[in-house]
Amino acid sequence: MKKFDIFKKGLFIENPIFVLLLGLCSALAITTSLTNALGMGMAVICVLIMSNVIISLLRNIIPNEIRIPVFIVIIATLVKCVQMIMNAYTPALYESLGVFIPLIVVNCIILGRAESFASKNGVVDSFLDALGMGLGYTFAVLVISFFRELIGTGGLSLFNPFDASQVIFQFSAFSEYAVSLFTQPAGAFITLGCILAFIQFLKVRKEKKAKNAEVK
Amino acid sequence: MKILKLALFLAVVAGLSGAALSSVYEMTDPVIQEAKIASEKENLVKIYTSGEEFKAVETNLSDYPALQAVYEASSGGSVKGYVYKCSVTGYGGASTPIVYLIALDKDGTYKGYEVIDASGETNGFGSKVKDQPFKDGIVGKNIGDSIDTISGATISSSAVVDGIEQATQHYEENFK
Repeated sequence: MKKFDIFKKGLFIENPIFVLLLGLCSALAITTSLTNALGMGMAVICVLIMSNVIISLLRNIIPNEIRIPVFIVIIATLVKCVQMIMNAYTPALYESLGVFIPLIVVNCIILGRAESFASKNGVVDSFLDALGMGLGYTFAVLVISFFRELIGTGGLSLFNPFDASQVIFQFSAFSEYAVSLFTQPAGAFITLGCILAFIQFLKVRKEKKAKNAEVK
Repeated sequence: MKILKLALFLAVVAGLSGAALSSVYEMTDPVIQEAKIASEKENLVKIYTSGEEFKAVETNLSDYPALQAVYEASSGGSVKGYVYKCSVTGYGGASTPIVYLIALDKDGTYKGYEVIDASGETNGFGSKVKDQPFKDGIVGKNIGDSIDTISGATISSSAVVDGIEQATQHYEENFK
């Protein structure tokens, strides 16, 4: 059961974006469409899992004094590999994500998990932690991009990120009432702010309930 | 002593990651090059129609602002000619450039001319750079012949001709 908890905490309780507020830069920038968010999420999951596993394997031989430079070299190498592979096999996605693929290197989620989890825990636990955190990140960017695309363009569309010609679903409901602000960076901040406020509301309500239960 | 050990460890990590990167690069580079050409291919085959093979040419284009890419057309191992992808500013301004391909054959003639995008040009005037008469004024001519611009569409057509001249210049300096 403990293993499942390691996996689960990244999804909600310690969701990297909504709760830990890590990696916001990419989360704000690439969430203009569901397709981009899904593609970016998968790239982050790949890098996160590989970096966590490698760092966890090497955790006993990496000298403590230079662990951060070593982590960064490993992460940068993985990101560059993912970037080249995406450029080769998913050129359309590569184009639309642009500079944010190389920027996964400085995504604090990845270095954060390496430093706070993978360097102290075993391979299996690190793998589960990476998978949970990666899925949590993907879930969060999908939620943000859902609202941004819906309000910003008046419809939703999802293409297969590996093959732009393959449409999974696409509809346009009220494109004449679209608020194009939401496809702009300001819209990203507004969306994220509203979602964070909603999560905070849920949290406070839960705490209050717990307190009331205690009193009774 | 300790600092040497640390430096050595970091150097080994960097070396390993360099090795990993170069092997991934070797693996993906041909696919990337192929994908680049595939997106251009539907236009390239309009110029070289008998099943030639195309390869992107690595060359320094910084002295030629109009040129975007160079492709080598070959059949059975022998080079037939070079296709230049040009992008020039016409009447539509820099945001909607005229993009076209100009092919220079090994025998010293202009082999083909295909406009990819001239959506910024005025219909009926600048858009004439897409039309057959202008094309006929280019294709088949020898390199170095002057190409007539279109009266009434001077800005668009001289922009195109300027790009063709740059392509010719590059061709003469690199492939002749």
